[in-house]
Amino acid sequence: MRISDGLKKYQEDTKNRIFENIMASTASSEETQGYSSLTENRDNGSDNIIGATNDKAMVKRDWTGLIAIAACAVLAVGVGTVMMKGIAPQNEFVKGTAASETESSDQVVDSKVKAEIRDSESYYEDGMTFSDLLEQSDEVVELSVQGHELIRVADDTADVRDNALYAEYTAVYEYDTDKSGVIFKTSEDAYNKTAGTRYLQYLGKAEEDINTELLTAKNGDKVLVFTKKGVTEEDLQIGSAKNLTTSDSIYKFDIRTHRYVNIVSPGKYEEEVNEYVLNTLTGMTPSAVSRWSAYHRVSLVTMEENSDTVESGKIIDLEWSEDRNAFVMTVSR
Amino acid sequence: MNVGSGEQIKKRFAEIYDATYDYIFKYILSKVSSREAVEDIIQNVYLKFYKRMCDEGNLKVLNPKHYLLRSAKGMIADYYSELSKADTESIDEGIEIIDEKALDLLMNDNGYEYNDILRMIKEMDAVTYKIFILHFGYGYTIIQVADKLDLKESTVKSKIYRALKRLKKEITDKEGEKYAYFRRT
Repeated sequence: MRISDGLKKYQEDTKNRIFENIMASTASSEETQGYSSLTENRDNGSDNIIGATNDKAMVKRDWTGLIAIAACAVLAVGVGTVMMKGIAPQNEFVKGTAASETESSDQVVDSKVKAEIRDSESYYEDGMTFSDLLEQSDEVVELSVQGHELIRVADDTADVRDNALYAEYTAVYEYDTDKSGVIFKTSEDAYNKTAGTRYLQYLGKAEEDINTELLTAKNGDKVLVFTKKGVTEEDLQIGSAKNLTTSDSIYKFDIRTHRYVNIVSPGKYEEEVNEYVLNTLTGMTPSAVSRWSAYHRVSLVTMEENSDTVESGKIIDLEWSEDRNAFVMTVSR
Repeated sequence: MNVGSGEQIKKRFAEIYDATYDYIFKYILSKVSSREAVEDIIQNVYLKFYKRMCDEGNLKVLNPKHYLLRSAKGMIADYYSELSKADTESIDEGIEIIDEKALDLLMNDNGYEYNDILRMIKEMDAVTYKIFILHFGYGYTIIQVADKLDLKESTVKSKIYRALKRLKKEITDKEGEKYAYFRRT
């Protein structure tokens, strides 16, 4: 046997062995037996099984080992990826960009696999998935909250055109018995360039869908919101009003944890949203990512790396690094 | 709720595994300094993914490669948080100038046994292991391997030469012992 044939066989055997280990470990009914059985198989197996176990490699990570549902959702809306069109002036994640413009090979997945996986997704208790949220949204916008409090829910039925009311940027407008909505105003865009006043409202039953005790966004917070068209009540003639897609449409960027958090339902869609943003940014240009990090006042470290699959100058990956206390952007050399 | 059966999940996982394994393996191989860690990490990357698929009944992931890559990076970060890179720092020291013809002969020799190759892999240092996997397993040229692993071309050749020479010697010695045994009987 030639050495190359031996190595190829070894590779194939290793691949099969790992697959079998995974199957064997998950077949066990005991919760913790999964990881340990890997060790057992490796140590007690055939001649093909060599090596030892490194327990440290088994540490579970909540943040970096994210679910790619977000990436799925990006694709689920009918495009290969999402590009943040006009990130500087409008700071909006806008869907509809051709995949070929921004898609890295990392993001290329076999269409059959893609289609099959798309058939299934975890559903939240309300029966809605993150994909649903994304599909129903016309745009995803980052905004700076300006005001003392972002949202104060009250039974106030004051005229929404009352400047005094909006001076505090807080209001709940109940203009119809079945159309309660949270409305808030922002006066700056995400990159400190004036984009005009925005009014966002949720056209659902606020008293049912929004737990007011958990609304935590405040002045100065950076929020990511999912919005859809068709918003405004005809008599709501205020700026570029938009609908919040759902009650879970607002995500605050938490500078402490360097991730977006749901301000209405903590935890909900958060992994997906964070993955969505990182995937979106990964499909953009390095300078766009720089602007994003500057906006959020988080450190960004750029590293270059040779890549067989990603075109030179394109982003290979973007992720938070605890060691560096910064987002690390890897760009193809 | 659309919950997939165990068989459906397994089938889907197998497809993803086949479609992404080489890519993820090569990535981990290029980042991690030991064979054991490479295998542990890739195993845990896929195990975590599979467990999540099972736990959630159906996990909708349209970009599994990217997900798995991110997962691998996380585990690699954990790995390096506990490990120094000492074993890769002096690999260019003491590299001998090799006989190109001898190297060529060793690489194209078809007299190796699979079990001998496995034993050789088990005894290899991490760098040599990576070289062998990339060059012989994945067909990278010597130059590509050197570039990928940030090594000198001569270092790559030397590592291959040393490992194969040692393997050949062990095979020869083993053959010698076999004949000696027959002589004794």
